[in-house]
Amino acid sequence: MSKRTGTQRPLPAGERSEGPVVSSVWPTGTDSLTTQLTEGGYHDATGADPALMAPAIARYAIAALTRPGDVVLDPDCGAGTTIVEALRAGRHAIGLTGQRRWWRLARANVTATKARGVFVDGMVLILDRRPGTAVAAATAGLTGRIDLLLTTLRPGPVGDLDGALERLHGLLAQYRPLLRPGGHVVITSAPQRHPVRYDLLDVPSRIAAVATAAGLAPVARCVALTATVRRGRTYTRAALAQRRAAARSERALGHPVALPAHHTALVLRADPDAADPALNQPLPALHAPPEPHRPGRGTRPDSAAA
Amino acid sequence: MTSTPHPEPGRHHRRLPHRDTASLRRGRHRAPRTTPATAVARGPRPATFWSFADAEMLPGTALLPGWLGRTIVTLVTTYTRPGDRVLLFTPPPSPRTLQHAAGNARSAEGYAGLAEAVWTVARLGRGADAATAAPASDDPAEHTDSSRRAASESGSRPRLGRLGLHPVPEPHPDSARPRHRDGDGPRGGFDLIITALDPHATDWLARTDWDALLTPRGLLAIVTHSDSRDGWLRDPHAALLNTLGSRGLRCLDHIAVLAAPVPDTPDRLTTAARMGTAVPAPDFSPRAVDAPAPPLRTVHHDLVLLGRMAPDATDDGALDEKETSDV
Repeated sequence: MSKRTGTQRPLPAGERSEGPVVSSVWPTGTDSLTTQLTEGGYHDATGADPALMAPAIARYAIAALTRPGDVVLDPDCGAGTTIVEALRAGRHAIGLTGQRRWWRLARANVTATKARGVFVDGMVLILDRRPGTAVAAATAGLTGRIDLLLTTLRPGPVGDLDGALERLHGLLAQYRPLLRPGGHVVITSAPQRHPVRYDLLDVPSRIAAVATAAGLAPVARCVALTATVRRGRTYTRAALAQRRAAARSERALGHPVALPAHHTALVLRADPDAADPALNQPLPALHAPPEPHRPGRGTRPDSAAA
Repeated sequence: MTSTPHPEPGRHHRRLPHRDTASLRRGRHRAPRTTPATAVARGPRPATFWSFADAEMLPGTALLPGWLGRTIVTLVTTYTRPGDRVLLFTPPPSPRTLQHAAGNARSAEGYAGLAEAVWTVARLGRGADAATAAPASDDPAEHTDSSRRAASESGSRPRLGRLGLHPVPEPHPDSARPRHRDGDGPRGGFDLIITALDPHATDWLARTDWDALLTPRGLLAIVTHSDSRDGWLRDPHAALLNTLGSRGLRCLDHIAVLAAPVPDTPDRLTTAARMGTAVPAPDFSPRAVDAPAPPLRTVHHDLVLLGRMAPDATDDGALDEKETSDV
């Protein structure tokens, strides 16, 4: 992993000097998720990840907010689509997951990507997300080296939103010191409804609150499409389960309920008021997350190179 | 992403009855319920993304952007039936709006023509009204000169008082539902209220008596957007939902409305990034929050739908007969 010499690289002659055109709507729904996974050469089991970030969404965020040679970190990478897309874009990538199932799948996807001869520059690590990983990463010289922390909100230990946000807060607080000054964080979330009342929960605002508490500042709230738009019409490709869920919500609410066609992508960056103190202070004390004991957890390696 | 000019939603589902143009010129536009609800076939379910970037301006409108006009039409045809009452509720001019009355249109001034859609709503067979929310008594907007006021709002738009409604003086923190001024229940009775919200001026939401304006099953549709000032996000969603949640209104849906073409595709961005030629890295240093140009081009607006929870969540067979739009 090459040493980054600065936050700015000289632009080639004749290059435009204005900033990037990052749209508030990300046209990431051109292909269905199945097509993206198939054409991307992902392992067949990748689609089993219930909180999978679509490869197109990961690709857009990486291309828009980083440059070749930058470092992308996903502290909760699941099946590893964010890592694979970062590698394909020529970025260094680090993926972390606390579940052995996703750890194996992410490694398989990364290995398959390399086997296809995709340009990869640098080392890729799939780390165990147990306490101590952040300390290991800091020891490895990653403090202030991450250019983009890209992840998605995953369900909590019992599938609840509060648990998911609590876990996200722990991750952000743990890995925030690794973010370089001015680095970006992108957190995507799918629309969620209350399990009983069926009203729409304001998940992005709660994510923003959690991230703010971790020393990050929201800079944009974007729409990452999961649907195709042709001639002004939106084709959601909603599965039968999604249509049934919409019908249930419709009956409960008494009004038409729209089929989901987008995820929300919250873009944040290091809070300048909190960056320097956080980098100058020692890493916060790491406590074991309040998760149920998983058999065999202690037998996993701390880290492994893929 | 390209789009062709959009046909009017619902155009292929039904034929609207001919209306006398003289009746449309009256102050209040009320259409009788001419089509039984049971006779209307159910249309496709809407999606949470409406692509109205290429929508043309509605006939007879001067200020109303095409995407907003199309949004209003889609809202009306999707969430109401012919004969329902619709209120186009213009927000009060914020101080920022008045200061930049002649500036760019990327804020509340972009919603200035909301009331112009009243004719279109009436032609759709709904009872259409237009009103302007009352500013606070200590709002600096009240102390600005009249010429600016005239430039920012329509002279024919009535205040709430004309509709027999009044803003609530203060929110009621000890109750989820505010008291009615006269204790005689809601008097507005609108089935759908369409309004807009400047992310920098959300106070008026708490001063408006939504309980009186909406029917028990009425919907409140708020068009808003996130804004960036000095590199920091001003997202009105949390304030909006908290304020209206204390009034008993819950978020039913969040829809993104595309108002301008999307500039780049991810593939082009990726290719450019690989070549290192077309996507220069912005100054994302922590001290660059004061950068004049934000690294984001906002091309969409947010449409938040709110309503009260249905008393019985399992008994609603009439919904299957409600018309919907083709978005």
